[in-house]
Amino acid sequence: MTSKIRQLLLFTLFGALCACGGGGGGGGGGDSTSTTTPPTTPPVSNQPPTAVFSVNLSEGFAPLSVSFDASASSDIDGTLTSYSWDFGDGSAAASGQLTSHVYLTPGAYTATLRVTDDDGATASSSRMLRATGVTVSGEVQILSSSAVDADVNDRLTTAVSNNTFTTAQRLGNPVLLGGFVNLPGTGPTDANGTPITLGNLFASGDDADVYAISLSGNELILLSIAEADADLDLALYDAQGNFLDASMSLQSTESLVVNTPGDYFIEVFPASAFTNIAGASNYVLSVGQNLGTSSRQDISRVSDPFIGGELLLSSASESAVSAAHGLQTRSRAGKTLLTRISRDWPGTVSARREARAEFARELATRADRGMSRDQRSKYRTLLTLKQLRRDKRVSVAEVNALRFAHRIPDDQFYGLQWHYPAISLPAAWDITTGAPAPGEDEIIVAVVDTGVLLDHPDLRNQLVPGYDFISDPARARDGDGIDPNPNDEGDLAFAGSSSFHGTHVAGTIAAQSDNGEGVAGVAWNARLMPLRALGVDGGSSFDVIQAVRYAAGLPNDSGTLPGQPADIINLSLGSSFFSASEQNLYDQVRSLGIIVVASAGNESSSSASYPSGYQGVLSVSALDINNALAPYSNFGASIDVAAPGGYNITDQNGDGIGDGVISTLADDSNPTSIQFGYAALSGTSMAAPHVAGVAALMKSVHPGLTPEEFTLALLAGELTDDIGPPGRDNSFGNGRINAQKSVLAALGLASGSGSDPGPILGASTSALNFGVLATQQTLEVRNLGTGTLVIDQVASSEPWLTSQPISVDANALGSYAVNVNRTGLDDGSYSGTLTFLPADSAVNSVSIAVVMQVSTANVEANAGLHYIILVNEAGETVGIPGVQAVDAGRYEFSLPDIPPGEYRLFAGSDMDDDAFLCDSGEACGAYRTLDAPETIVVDPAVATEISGLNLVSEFRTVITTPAGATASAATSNGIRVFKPQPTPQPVREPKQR
Amino acid sequence: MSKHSRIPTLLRWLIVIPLCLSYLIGCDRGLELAATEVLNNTNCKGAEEGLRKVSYADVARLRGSTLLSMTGSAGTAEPSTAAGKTQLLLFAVSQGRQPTPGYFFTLKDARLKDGVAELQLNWQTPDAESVQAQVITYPCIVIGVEAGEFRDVRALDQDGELLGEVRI
Repeated sequence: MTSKIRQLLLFTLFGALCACGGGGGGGGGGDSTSTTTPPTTPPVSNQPPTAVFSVNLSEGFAPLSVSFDASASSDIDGTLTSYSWDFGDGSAAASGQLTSHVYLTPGAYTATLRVTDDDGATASSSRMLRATGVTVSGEVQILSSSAVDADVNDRLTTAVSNNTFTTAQRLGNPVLLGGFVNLPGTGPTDANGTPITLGNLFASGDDADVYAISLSGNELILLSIAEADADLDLALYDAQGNFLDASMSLQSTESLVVNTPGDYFIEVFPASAFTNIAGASNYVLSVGQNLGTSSRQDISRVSDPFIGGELLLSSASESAVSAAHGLQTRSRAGKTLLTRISRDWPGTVSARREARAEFARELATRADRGMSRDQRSKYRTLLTLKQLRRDKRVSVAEVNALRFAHRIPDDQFYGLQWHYPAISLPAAWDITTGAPAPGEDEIIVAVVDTGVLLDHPDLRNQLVPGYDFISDPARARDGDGIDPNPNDEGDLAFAGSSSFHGTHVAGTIAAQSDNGEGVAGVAWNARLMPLRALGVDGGSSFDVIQAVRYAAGLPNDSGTLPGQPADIINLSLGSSFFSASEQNLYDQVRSLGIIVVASAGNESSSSASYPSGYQGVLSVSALDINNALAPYSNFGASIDVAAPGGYNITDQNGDGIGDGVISTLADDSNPTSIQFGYAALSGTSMAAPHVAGVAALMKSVHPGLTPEEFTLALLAGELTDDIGPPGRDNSFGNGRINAQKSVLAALGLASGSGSDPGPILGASTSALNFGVLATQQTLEVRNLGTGTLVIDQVASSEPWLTSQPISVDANALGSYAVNVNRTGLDDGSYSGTLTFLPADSAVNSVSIAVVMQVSTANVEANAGLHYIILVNEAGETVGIPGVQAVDAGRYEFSLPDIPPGEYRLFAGSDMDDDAFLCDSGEACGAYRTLDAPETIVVDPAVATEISGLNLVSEFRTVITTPAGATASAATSNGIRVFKPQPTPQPVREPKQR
Repeated sequence: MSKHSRIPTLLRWLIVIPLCLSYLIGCDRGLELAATEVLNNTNCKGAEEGLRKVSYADVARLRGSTLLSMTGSAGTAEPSTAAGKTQLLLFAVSQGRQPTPGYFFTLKDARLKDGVAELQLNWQTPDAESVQAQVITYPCIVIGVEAGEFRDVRALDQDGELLGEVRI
């Protein structure tokens, strides 16, 4: 139904109600309530006719079938020659003394009879009929920490300015807030690209949202920007309004960390016109405890360690670019220039004058707020960096960063890679990331698979030459048999996207990492040798053998050998057939000192898959996010070790992505272009490369590591955490691979000290977040090293934080319960530390960061004006949407007159006023859940009222990238809602900065 | 009637009888329904095993890429409610989780038999002797069928095994 039709119906309904008062017709039968109008222009000698009709019923559930009878109409001095019926619902007119009509949709209708006599005089009579529908009701619930920006663009809200420190909007802590900002004259557009001008803020703009908040210290302030083509920034001020920090990237998220308790102002603002980026977007601002798991995307904060005023630049048009942006070359390193912002800044950019003025305004507002000279310089540098990165002539633009040792890579999606902390990789990265020891060869991991997308941005710098060993051109999809190009040409025989399986596997082993982009790999300073053996419909044993021979430096059909054989070969592939010749090959490869890792198979079976079932090949089973055997994973006597393979169907960590393994991937469903990206897959294919990557880390600290040494250490439990039954078992083999233990074991072997690193205390987690409700969680402490380790004491930093052993051994190692007690505590965020202290002071202690919040009733929770709509199977909204403001943290709704049908129920806000609910950054929910909306059957024969439809609506953060793609945990498609006409524009106070 | 004149009569019967049989078989096969593959995907996250009626919004969800992208516009399109599309009834068929790639459906035929819309599919599995990547897949097919005189729909594989049935 179009909006015009809907408006017409509304108008008709309104008109009918006005015309007929509140009566609306009684029961069925009778003709006494019809209204009759005077006859028209009767001839002097003619008596007018009388129009009277009766109906069998005047009210009932739609579809309402009504019989009309005009037999009581008459003409005193003649005869009636015609009867004309207008049913009032837009349907075609009918004729005849008797007729019937079905009102399909609920509503109030005015039916009119017009009769004409034999002299041409007419008379008419009307009566109101009502087709009713089912009432659907329930409640939209929101998180207790929800809040909404006081001035959003939704035309049905009243905008209350929060643009200045004096009008700052007070927030609780923690908080999840939805908001909207825009530059004047910018905002959403309709399907034709025409700006929607009816919103509160379109004309005036909303160039800042300022929030006042009390922080307890150690908070992470995270801004998620909904619109890919908008650029919003985030700034922090102290209680006096003095500038502290700003996050100013071109990314879809900005973040700041606050370590000191106190009162602060947070400002969200559209980036200035200086950067020439449209500034209108929804956003989600979250403030909560910083658990250190949020990934950083780039150097983007004024407080980040870089040199103010200096920029690294690479461009084919160095001189022109430098002049345009007011940069002066100071030094050169290859193609990279070290430039300094000159007195000519901001250069000769086309809108130089405007840019100067804009920047002056931009900088002045903040410099006046206590910005130091260094902060001002770095602020200007970050602004210039944005401008450079939008200059198409510039291939590289970066700040001149100060480098420090690190252990957590800053890759964009690292925070989603739960499977790395699960195997203690961050601790291992403190020691090595796979780079060879000085004077040693690079560590090379061969990936025998579907090939690798050689141009994938997170892989292209990680590769050594490989080969395509697919001998069947039809299977290869590249027009020939074996060839030197191992690029993955896809493996799908029909429409859709190829698997790009080898690309995913390769990314897990050694994706380019700590580069602010994409994902991290296990051993990101190792190198990948892409070898293609699988194509359309899989591959043949022969082709796999050829690839393995090449990787090992053995003669093969290519007639060539690699410059350096692989150190490790990963085989995330298999079949059920044993081959003696293949066993011989893997014996030979192992004798060359090459470690071969293979996936155990996904048949949930104890049957061996090959090559993982061959002697000398490490067989890897898959773990889910809970460290349980994944439901698909093979098991049995051949399993050597377990590693995360994930399970994409669940989202137990609530990050909006299935709990698979996140790695490099692509989509070629559009035949004209391939889209590089990242995604979660699950399988033992994903588990094996974790082990291959760990083997590469081990090899980097112990270049002489042999397969035999690896196996002996594995059997000794030196590379794994023993999960499942004690000792080796058929599900996990010798346990879950532990990268830190493995690297330490390799160091021990390298130093000739055997594999005895001594006692090392480790815990299953480094942080616990109890949120608002949880009171108890568990953790596990173990001796990750060798020898004896006894826990002497567990010390708590706070009286509300306690622990007690649940299941521990004689050395007090095992499971502990951690408890928090909120009794007597005021509202706010609390943090503490639990420290496990070994009896031997020479052994490391382990500290667990604990955070929790105390919050009273959710009376202040508010997720903004909500629209509640029913969507039919065709995706169309049905009935009039419920429009509901919050009341004590909840939204009760009742949708009347819903016609029979099957629907899904959605609720959400429309902060940007584009008439689509559930856009990125807006609150959104569905009955029962957004991920699996349930069909609601409306049938008045079954129930005339459906109540208790309760659902949860929450602000959904999104993951987007600078270029604009969106991948959301929630629906990223908006749901259309037809909004009423705008109310008069509220009076807004003038902007003050 | 001479002996020679009887031969054409026999020939006529030999022609007529098979034609009648084929007619009868044709009746048993039912009337052809206009049907098309709307989606054929190897990674239909959330697809329930069996046959079910779905909406275009469901199709978008089944097709929905989980790619965390660096370029392009995945996931930003508005829901498809274009006129004309609503004329098709959509049915998704899935066999649930599969251990490797190489499993997929193709639409073979769609017929109206005894008031039931019958979707005949080919369920392809990987060559048993091939080597396969060990990644979990969720193949599914979504078939669009023009509305007709039927309330029940069932899907069968090439061996006549029931894949699922649904009343609309």
